[in-house]
Amino acid sequence: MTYPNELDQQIENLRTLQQSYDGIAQAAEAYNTGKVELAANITSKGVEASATETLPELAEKVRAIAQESYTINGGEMYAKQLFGSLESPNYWNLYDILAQLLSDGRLVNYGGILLAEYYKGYDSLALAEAGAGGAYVVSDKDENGQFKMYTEDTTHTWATEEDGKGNRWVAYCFADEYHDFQITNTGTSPRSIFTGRKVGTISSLVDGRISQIVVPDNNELNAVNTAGTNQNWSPNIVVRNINDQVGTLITLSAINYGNIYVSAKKIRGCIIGLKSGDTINASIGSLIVKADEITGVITSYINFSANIGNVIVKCPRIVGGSDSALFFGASANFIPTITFEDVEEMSGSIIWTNNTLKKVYLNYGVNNRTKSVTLKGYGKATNMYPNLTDIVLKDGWCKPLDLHYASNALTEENIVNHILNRLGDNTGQPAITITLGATNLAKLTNEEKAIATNKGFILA
Amino acid sequence: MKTQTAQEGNWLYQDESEDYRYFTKEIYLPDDAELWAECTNEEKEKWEEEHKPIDPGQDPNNISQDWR
Repeated sequence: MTYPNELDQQIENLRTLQQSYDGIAQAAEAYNTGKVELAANITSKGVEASATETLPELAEKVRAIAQESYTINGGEMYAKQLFGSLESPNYWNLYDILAQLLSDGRLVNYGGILLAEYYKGYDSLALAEAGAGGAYVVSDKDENGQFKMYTEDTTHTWATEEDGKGNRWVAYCFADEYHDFQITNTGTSPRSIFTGRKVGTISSLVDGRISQIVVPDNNELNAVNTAGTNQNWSPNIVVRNINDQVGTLITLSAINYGNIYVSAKKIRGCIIGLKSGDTINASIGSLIVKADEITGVITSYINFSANIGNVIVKCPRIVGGSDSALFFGASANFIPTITFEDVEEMSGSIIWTNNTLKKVYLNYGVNNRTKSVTLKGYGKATNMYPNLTDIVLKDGWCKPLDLHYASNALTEENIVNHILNRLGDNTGQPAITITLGATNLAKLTNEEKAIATNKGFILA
Repeated sequence: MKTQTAQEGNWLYQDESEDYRYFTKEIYLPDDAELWAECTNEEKEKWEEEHKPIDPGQDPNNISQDWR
C-alpha cells in the first residue's frame, strides 16, 4: 500500500499499535483470571494461595497439596495420626494410599476408585476389571517415582522388591460413577478393599479372602454381595457408607466375632448370612446396624447356635415382610437384648421366634404420632418371645404401639414403670392406642390403667 | 377413664393396617376418646379367614430365600 503522505502512514501505524495493545490487554486479563481461579482451587485443597503470587510460586503450592492435603475419614489424616508418618515401613497403609490416590492429579476424572490389597505372593496379576475407560494404579513405582499406571487391561508383573513391604495393592479406577466390581477368581481375591468416590456393587462370586471393606466418610459404595461364598472376615467387621444393600453383605464363617457394625442408607437385602447349607457355631459380641430404612433382613439363613450379645438397630423405618423377619432364622440364637434406636415406624417380624429374648428397648427418634411401632414374630401368632419380660420405652413416648404379639410374660412392674410411666402427654390430641394384649392388660389395676388413659392413651 | 366392653359374643376391633386387625373384648380409654367399632364373632372369623397369614409351622431355615 502506498500512502499519499506521511500522516496517513502514521495513522495506520497507530491503528496497528492499538490492535496489538488490545490483544495484550486481553491476554493479561485471561492470565489474571486464571491465576485467581488457580489460587482459589489450591486454597480449597487446604493450602493457602493468593492470585498475587507468581506462577512458579503457585506451582510450588500445587506440589504442596499432594503432600499435605490428604483428607479422608472426616478430615483426619488417619495414617499420619496413627503412625506418625505418611507411610509405614513394613506394609502399604491403605488409608494413606487411598488418600494419595484421591489427590493424584492423574486420577481426578475417574468416578470411582477401588483399592484392593493382595498377599505378596504372586508374580503377576491380570488387571481386567476397570471397565471401558478405566485405569489401574499399582504399588510398583515407575522410573519417575510415581505409582505405575495403566490405562488399559493388561497383566502386571510385580517388581521384585525392594520396597520391603509385605503386601501389594492395585487401584481399579473406574471411568464412571457407581461402576460394579466382581471377584471371580478365588486365588486372586483381594483381602482388603478400600473404596473412594462412588463405587457400585462389590460382588464375590467365589470363595475369597475378603477380610475388610472400608468406605471412608464422604465416599459411597452401593452394596456388597458375598452371598453363597466363604470369605475371611476379620473378627471385627465395620462396613460403612453403603447406599443400597442388596444381596448378602457378610457370610459368616465358623469363628467368633467381636463386633459387627454396618451402616447403610437402605437395606433391602441381607446383612449377615451363611453359605447355604452350612451349620456353624459362632458368636457375635455386638451387632450394630444403622440405616435410614430396612425392608430386608439383618440375619438370614442363620443356623447356628450362638450368642449375639448386644444388638442395636438404629433405624427410623423398619418394614418387614409377612414371610421373613429382621432376624430371620435366628430362632436358635441366644439374643438376650435388642435396642431399637431412633425408631419411628416398625412393622413386620423382628425375630421369627425366640425363647431367649428378655429385654427390648424402644427409643424413638422423631416422636411421630402417626407412625406406629409393632413388635412381633412370624405371622400373627402371639407370645413369640415367651421369656420377654421387659419392654422399655424412651421417656415421652407418644406413638401407637402394639406389643400383644410379642410376649404374655411382661411383668406388672415393668409394664407400669417402663411403659405406662414413660408415656408422654397426649391430652388434647386424638387418643393413641397402646396394645398390650388381654393377658398383660389383666395384670394391671384400674389405677395403673389410668396412668395411661389420663395422658390420652387407649389401653387395649 | 372409661371402659368399653363388647357385648356378649361380640368383639371390639381396630385396624392396624390392611392385613392386621386387633380384636379384643375390652379396652380402656380417656373420657373424651372415640369408642372402637364392634363386630360379631362370625364377622371376626370371616375377616381372619380372609386374612390368614403364613403357616406358622414352616421352618424359616428351609425357606428358599435368595439374597443374592
